[in-house]
Amino acid sequence: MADTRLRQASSRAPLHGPAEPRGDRWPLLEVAIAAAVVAAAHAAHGPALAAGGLALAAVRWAGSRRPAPVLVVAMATALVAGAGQPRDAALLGGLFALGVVPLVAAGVVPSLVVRGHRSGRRDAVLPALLVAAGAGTAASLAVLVAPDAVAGVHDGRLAPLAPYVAVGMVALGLGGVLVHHAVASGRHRTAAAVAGIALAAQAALLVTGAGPATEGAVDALLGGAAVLLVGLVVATTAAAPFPFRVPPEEAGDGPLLVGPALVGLTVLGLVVRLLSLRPLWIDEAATARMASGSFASMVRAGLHGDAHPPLYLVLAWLCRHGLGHSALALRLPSLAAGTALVPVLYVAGRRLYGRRTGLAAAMIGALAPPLVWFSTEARPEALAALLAVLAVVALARALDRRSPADWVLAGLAAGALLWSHQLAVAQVAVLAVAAGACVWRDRRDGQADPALARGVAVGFVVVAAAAGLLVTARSGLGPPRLPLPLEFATAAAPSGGRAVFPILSTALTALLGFHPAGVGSRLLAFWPLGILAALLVLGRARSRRSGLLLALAAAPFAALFVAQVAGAPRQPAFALAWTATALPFVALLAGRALSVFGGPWTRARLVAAGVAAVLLVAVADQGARVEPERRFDVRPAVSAVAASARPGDVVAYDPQALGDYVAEDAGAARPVPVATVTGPGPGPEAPHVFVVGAFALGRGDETVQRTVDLVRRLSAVRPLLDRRGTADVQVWVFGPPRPAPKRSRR
Amino acid sequence: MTADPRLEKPHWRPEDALPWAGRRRRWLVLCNVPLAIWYLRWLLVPGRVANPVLYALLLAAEGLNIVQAVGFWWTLASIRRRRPRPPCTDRVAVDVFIPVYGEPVEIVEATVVAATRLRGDPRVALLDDGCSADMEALAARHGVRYLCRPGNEGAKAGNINWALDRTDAPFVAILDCDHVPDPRFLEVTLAHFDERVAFVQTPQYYANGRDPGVAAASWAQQALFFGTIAVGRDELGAMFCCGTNVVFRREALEDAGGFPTASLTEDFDLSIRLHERGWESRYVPEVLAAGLGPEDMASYTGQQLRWARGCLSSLPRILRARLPLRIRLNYLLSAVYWLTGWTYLIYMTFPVVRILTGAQPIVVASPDEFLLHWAPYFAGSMATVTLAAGGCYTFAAFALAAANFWVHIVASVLTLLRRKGSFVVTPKKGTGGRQLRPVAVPLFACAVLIGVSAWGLAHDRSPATLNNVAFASVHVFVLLAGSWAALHPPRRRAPSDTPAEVPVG
Repeated sequence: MADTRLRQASSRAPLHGPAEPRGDRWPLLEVAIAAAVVAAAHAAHGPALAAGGLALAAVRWAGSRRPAPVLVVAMATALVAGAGQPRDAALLGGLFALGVVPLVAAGVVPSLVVRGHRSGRRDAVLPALLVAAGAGTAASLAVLVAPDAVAGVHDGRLAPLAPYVAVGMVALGLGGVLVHHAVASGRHRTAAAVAGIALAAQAALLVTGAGPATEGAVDALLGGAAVLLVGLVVATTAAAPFPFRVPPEEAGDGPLLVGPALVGLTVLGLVVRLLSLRPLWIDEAATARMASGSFASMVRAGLHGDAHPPLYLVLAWLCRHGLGHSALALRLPSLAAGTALVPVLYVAGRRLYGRRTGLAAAMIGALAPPLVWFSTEARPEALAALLAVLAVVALARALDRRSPADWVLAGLAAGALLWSHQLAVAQVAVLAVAAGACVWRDRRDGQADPALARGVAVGFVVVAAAAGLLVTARSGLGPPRLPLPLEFATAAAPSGGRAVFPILSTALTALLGFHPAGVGSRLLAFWPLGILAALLVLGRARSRRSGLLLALAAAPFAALFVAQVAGAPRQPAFALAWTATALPFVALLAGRALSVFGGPWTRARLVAAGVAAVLLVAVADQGARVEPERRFDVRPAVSAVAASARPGDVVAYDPQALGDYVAEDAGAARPVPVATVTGPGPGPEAPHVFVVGAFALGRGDETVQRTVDLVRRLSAVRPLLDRRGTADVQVWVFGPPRPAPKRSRR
Repeated sequence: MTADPRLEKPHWRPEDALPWAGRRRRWLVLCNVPLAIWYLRWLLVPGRVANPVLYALLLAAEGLNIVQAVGFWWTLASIRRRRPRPPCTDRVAVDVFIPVYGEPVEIVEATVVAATRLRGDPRVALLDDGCSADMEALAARHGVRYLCRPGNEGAKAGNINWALDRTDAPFVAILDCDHVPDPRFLEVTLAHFDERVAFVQTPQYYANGRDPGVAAASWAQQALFFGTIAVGRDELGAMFCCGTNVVFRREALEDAGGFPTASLTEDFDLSIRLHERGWESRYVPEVLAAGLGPEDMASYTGQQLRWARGCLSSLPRILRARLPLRIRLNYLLSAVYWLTGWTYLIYMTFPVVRILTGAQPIVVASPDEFLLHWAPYFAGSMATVTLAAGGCYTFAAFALAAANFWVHIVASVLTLLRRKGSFVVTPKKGTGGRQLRPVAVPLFACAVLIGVSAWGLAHDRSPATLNNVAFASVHVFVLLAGSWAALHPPRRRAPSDTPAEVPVG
């Protein structure tokens, strides 16, 4: 991919079609709708966001060729605005005051207003700014004046912060419109500058900020910048238009109606994901717990308590505080990322190979069981997968256009990837090597391009800043402590053993998803078909693009394999979650294989339909038959407790990650962690004691020991009335304390 | 533009595979050696034997494959970058022999015309073993010498020997009647005749190698040989004559007593004789003549059978010959290649036996133990072939070779039985129809594999059975892919109605 031939090919067949004409027919409508969506999202959060986004998308698809940036920027901005739900007013004030307002005031607004004047587009920009300012002010004031009516929350601390919040909301609205406008107009440098300033400010605060006074502000800024960064990367990558209907003379042996096909696949992907939603499981419960506290505690927990870096947690925190405590809200970032992956895979496939590959990859991305699985989990895998593809697209784009702004974006995308998944460091390293190889190759061929070298250097600096920031943050502002990623990769993983089948099994899961153990072992028995695959690629033209994708797909596996061979303290398992960032590249390669081996377009469609059918069956099997030994569900047990609990009863639960759900679902009972129960347990004021234990980690787990110990102590003083549950989730029900034995009087 | 592909610009350049020369090739080879040792060490553990007979068969097959692989790596590691020599512009007399035996006139005419336009001092002779009037007229039309001997003992070798007695130029070029030479053919080859060089060989390039079907697959096999293996053999001083597109020093030919007439591969035997007498050989990796490869399965099978029988029958001679070890080993590698069909048969037998009887060759502690030791070796070998061939060696080439496994078996049996074979000229034009006979054996093998797999699945669907069914499926897929061109012949180019246009030198 990262070579001259790619660039030449890319220049021959530009990804996004012809350059957008300067005179857009719909600028006013576009930005006005964006402003309205932002304002509506400010006011009513989730439902308005969804409705407005869909309306916007419909209008834009009908009228122009640039729907994505509006939608995505609006969503990202609205997610930030979702934080406006006044739960933690101090944090909100810090976020706006220290994060967005200075940035907008210092850089974006004057710059873009001036630019708008110069380019004669003020007719589009200024009304939109006015609309955004007015709507934002109105929405903010509505929230502040009547929080009960608008947001359903009343917090007296809001009043002193009213000016801050109002200005912040207005600025956020203006920023959203302006950033969207810059991105949609092709002025990516502005967008990159915003993200760059945010990162720089964040880095400066992290490095210099010592003391509790700035801690909240730092954390808030961190979250704001991270969200902004994700939004900008997504928006910028999807910004340039691409033709939805290919002119017949250009279609050749490929699809003519790309747009409807892509929209259909995206909707199909969303529907399959929504149908595949399951109850939350233990890791998601941990996410929920971390996302339930304050922003500062969430960031701290994310940096030091979770295996993965905290970008997903930031989004989950925003969703949880903005959209409520539902499981869907917690999973919204994954759901959105997993759905967005479908069109992004098309973009990547089209840029690297062509429309056919793009559509095939999008189809696989929509239906691939593991991608569906991760898109419905409140964990960072789907987001990381999306960012991994975006990083590749951004790199390809930077190599193609060689503008510094593109390199900054590529660096930001790779940086965001680093912040989203532990083993993404392996893929970022591959991308860095690819970019370096490009410079080296040009120099070797006597075609050294200073612009390319400078661009790669810029990209490296941005990635290094993101990586350094991550390492510094995870080390508590102390000196960097390397190598963190493998340490985390091995920390929570069960033993894997030095064997091939775990790798194969994971690779198979990456293709066909999770299935009952019997299905897996039978599928694994078909490994000789791999010989056939190896033979089939004999003599196929070597492609650096495919080589890069292959390296990106193999990188997480290689990292785990190295950790195994090197004898990591606890050998990492080849769990698919660790290698999730390989999944989109598997989809791209499979899409490429489909488009190459599919033959003529008519036959290729039949082959694609066959593959889609197989994937759908696999998704259905995954949804219907995956056994709870992989994913246990505590909800039924907790619900059963809630049904029989009376006021005063106590529910003791372990592990602590369950607390969030027990607290929500235990009904009249009072939840307490098992670890906090001492002695013989609750006194006689608690008529019944329920002990809920979830055992995911096997024998030797502290949860088991603690729970069994409590059950033993309770049994000594209370009668055991009932015991029920599954292999992984057990519930003990104890009755009122037995009366103390009377002492005989002598 | 004409439809005769021989007159088009070559679509292959041997140097395309050569950027992988030098240090990178050696690194590639160095990576393979420990992988092969890793696998062999595991395979040769005494406790590995499950069924002694099957284990012995497995060892024999793997042994032959590893010997071939090591020979390939050796050849690869020997390749050095050579500076091209300036062409020889002296007017040196060269007898250009074009042996024919019943080939179509339109095929031969392009060759004859091109031969008369060779730069230098070519003395073209059409050696007609069929004594056809059309050929005589053709020779007269283009002003070349026409030689027709009484009888045709010794086939092509006898024909050339007969012509040798009637010509006297110090060098002799041999061109098969379908190989249209480039005007520079003599200039380039003569530049390599150092004092002790007996012959200079150039690639046997198939101009129809882009046609789908057998032609493309057989060309891919040729490309691996002439693009990489021949270059390495040349560095080792062990390049052998391939019967066409070659220039001999007459003195060397006379020293060897002319072409051996008792062999089916007279070129191979002659090379042994020449090397035995201390003569040297050279290979020029440059397309200097364009010919036609076999276009249908019957032609390909006939060609392979002749080569296999010839090379296998040369085995005793190679073992007896007083050759330097390096050259002897290279000849041995070339000859035993024609036993690889036995390995396909053995590999196909294993899943059948395992499904029917439960017997297997080796004992493994865990299901993936075999994979852990074998897969790296396999992957390394595949990567080496892919890279070393510069992408020329394709799945179709492999499948065609695999589907013709029976040719090697028949050839080795006939050689063991000392049955005499007859020299059959490879047809220059395909029949264009469906040919079931050459693929009857692979189709039978497919039927057995499918039948046994179905039986196995009906009785047991354990992972072990599924694993062997998967192995059987791989064989079936490969055999069917290799046989497909015979079952479903691809459409060929329309024959040319226009006279051949030969590039003028």
